[in-house]
Amino acid sequence: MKALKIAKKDLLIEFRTKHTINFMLLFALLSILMFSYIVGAFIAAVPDIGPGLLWLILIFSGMLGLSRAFTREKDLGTLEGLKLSPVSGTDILLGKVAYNFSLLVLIEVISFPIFLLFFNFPVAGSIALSFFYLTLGNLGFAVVGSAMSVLILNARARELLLPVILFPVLFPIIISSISALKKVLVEGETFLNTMGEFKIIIAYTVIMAVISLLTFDYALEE
Amino acid sequence: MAIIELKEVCKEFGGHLAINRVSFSVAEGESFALLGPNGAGKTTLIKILSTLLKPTSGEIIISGLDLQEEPEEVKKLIGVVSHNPFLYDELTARENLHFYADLFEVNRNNAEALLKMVNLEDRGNELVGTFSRGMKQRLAIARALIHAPKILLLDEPTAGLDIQGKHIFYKWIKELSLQDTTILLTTHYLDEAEKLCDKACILDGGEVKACGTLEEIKGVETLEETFIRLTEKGVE
Repeated sequence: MKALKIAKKDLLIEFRTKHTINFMLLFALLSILMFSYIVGAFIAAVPDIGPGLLWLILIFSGMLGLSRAFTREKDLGTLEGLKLSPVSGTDILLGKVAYNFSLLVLIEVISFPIFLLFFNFPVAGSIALSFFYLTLGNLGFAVVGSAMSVLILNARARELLLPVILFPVLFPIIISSISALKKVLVEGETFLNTMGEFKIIIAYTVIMAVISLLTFDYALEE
Repeated sequence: MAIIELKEVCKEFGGHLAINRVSFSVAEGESFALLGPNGAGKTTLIKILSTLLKPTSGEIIISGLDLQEEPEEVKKLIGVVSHNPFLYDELTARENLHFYADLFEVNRNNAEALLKMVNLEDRGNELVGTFSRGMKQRLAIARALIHAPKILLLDEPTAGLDIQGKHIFYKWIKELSLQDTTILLTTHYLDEAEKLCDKACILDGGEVKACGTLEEIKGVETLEETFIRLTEKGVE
């Protein structure tokens, strides 16, 4: 599948240069350190605000890398190289989603345990299910973020524009992911008791993926 | 037999007609130059032919395929070399060729023969970011040929190359021409067109000013004199 070839190429370049991943990771770790210091004075509030803070950290660090998947290709002129090849818009978009998702999961896997440790988080539920919801939320984030970063490709202040247009569209995924994480991690709820959030995240991600795939070719046109 | 055929092709950008009813055809195995001053529409036309831009109106047939109906099939028939090499600096020369071979679904082994052809077989495992402009352009030719295209579209391919680089480039283009690859070249260098091409089309303001063999276009003048005469309205 050509989408996987594109994702593999992007990951090879990223792990060779570490241009994006280092900054994303550094931002996530510094934010955890800073927030844990601030929240330390309000230890009783940690279970309530912790999941929201973790998601904010993941989203802000993710945003550092999301737009680069397309802007780097655009700036180097290699996006035209892709468009000159017999590759469908679907393959290009799915390749970029897979690449962005891989980076987000890597940040999540490193940040989540450090977050629990630094916040001295009182874990009441399943860590595995918490990872599942973080990963699911990141999948939605990667789909919506990749699609949105194409829309701003030709904009002048595209790095500034992305958060502004991304946050409102991402809102249902963020809220549902925070809610699911809080239920699992703090209240010790099972998967069945978080089915509502699961359905919203899946449905929204699928709807956004379909819209993105249908409009991607037009968005990519010069 | 015409392998490239344009009929009344127009391209409009926000009310400005960049290409105005352009018609010409290129026979199989022919080397054809698109000449014109800056803003004449050469690059726009190459972008249309390479499927990067859609024409506003008109018909384009590439090897019997309607470009607008079957762009994915047309892409398999064409290779594009422009001043931008479309290469990844952070990948090696070999990795770049393998990546494009995968996208075109052709055998990765093609890369070895092409690296040899462009004299880069010893540098195949080096990052493209360490290459000179001339080496990148040589690799760009290999990239464009990875799927053995029938048509090579060259958009100012020698821009920024030194004399040595241009000389090597001309040699390969002539060799490809002898192997029946159809060449469509846009250039600002008239001597380049005379060296490489049998036929040409002079564009100005998006319109065809002259089209035919170089002898037919020049008549008793030099190509430069004809070019200036046909495009001087644009200068004024």
